[in-house]
Amino acid sequence: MPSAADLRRAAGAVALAAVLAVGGAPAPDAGAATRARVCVTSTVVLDSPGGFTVGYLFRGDRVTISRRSKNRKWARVSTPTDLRGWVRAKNLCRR
Amino acid sequence: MNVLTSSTTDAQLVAAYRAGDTRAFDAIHDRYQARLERFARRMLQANPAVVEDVVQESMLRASRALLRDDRHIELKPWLYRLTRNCALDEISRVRTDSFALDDDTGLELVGPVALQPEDASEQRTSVRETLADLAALPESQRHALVRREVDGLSHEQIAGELGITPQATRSLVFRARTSLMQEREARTVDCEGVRVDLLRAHDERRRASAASLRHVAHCGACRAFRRDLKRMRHAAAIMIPGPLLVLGLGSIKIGGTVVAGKKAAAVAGIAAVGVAGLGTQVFGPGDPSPVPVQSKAVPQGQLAQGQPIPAGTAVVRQVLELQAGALQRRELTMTCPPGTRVADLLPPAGAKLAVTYAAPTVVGATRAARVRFAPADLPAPARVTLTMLCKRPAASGSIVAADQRAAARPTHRVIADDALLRDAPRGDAASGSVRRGQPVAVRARDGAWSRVVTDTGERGWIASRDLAPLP
Repeated sequence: MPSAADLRRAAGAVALAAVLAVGGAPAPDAGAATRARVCVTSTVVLDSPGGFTVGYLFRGDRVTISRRSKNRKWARVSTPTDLRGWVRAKNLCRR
Repeated sequence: MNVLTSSTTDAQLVAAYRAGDTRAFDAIHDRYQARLERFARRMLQANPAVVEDVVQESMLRASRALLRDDRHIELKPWLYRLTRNCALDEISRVRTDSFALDDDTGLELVGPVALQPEDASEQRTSVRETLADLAALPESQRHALVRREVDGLSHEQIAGELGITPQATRSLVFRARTSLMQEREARTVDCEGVRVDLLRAHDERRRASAASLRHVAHCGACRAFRRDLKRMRHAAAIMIPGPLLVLGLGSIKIGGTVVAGKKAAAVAGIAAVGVAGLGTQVFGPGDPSPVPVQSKAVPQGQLAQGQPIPAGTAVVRQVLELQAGALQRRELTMTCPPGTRVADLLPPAGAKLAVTYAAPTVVGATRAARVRFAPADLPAPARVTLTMLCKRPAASGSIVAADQRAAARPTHRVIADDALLRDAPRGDAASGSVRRGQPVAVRARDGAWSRVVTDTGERGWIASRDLAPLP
């Protein structure tokens, strides 16, 4: 019978794994596209990380990630509106 | 009567006055003035001058009315009624003079119950609003309602006073109550909805709904909004050549130009698209920004709500009403004023629907933006306000504000629609994008690749074939 502490540790490990699966997964810089969804209240879509706002996505909206920036802070995505833009990677979760 | 004392009754004073003894009315005045002033002060703002004037007016009316006939009068309640009516007249007069009803001054609320400050404030506001609504009623309605509700008279008694049938007084009271309830309801209506109606009415050249107009009568901000709409039409009619004014077959477009930062030339435009009551507002240089703006297109990268919009910049807003169910209309076009180009899409307000620019929109290059919603199924009707920033490009084609622009002098512009800024020549990794028309400074070349710095300050490699030298 696992103790409460064991259960807490297990839950923590699962949560950590979930976070890594999104932010720290070996997502390719290019090539195979991965699907994700917005997991914050809202996020902006930029034409480039240092550029202009070209759209808004809300929690639950699904995107396809085509690549990530070198520093892995930004994800290049295709939006449900067929727009390609850049979104902060931390605002996305694996579907 | 030869001797008037404090023990002389009201009836005796009235009789003496009617018999020609003017001192009797002085005695009535002295007996009731202070009490009537206290009463009037409850109804009016705590302004001694106004309170005294109102009581003087009621006394004047009393002096005339008492001599008009010899019918029996219960002096005390009659004087209070006269004072009440004078106070309502005063409130009505002030209201007609467009006095702000939502100011901070309030009625003194007197009563046996000690209220919490916030409750008392709320109640004062409610009383003030009710009195203002009452004062705004047509005189016959107001009289009938006050006599019925406050004095408790029967419809027959009111009918006798007004010289009409009891059925007619019932109708007056009913209409008065209905008006008061509608006024109260109008105050609580959402400003955004009223403005949509005002925009639609303005566009369709008709009168706005009665409910909206009632709200406008109470809401200073919406009144200003309506005034601006009217002013805009007058200004635009002067500036716009005749043929433009007859474009409006379902889509009236009164265009403003954003040139040299002149407000007169940057008057807003109104456009309406026939479907779902869409209304567009354009805010030009010098106009207060309707929303906070964060963008590289404006100096210091931000503009607070209400701050004047900088020269060469415009904000375009479009309000959409969406019906419940599957989103039928997923795209619309928003157009920047002449001379400007599409910049940022600003945060939408209302329903949380994914929305982005869509092809062929190119930031900094096109004047019109196609805006697209993601497929959605709305459980209920919704409203969305879309806002877009427009910017006049610099000579280089950049829409980045001068103080936000990269120091590097641009030498080329991008001729590909959407190219990646790669981390290395021939490499696949990329950390940004460039768009058609964006000015860049070429810093180095490596075969078919150029290392560039964009006008936003981003760096990377791009295929040289995607660049054209600036003239």
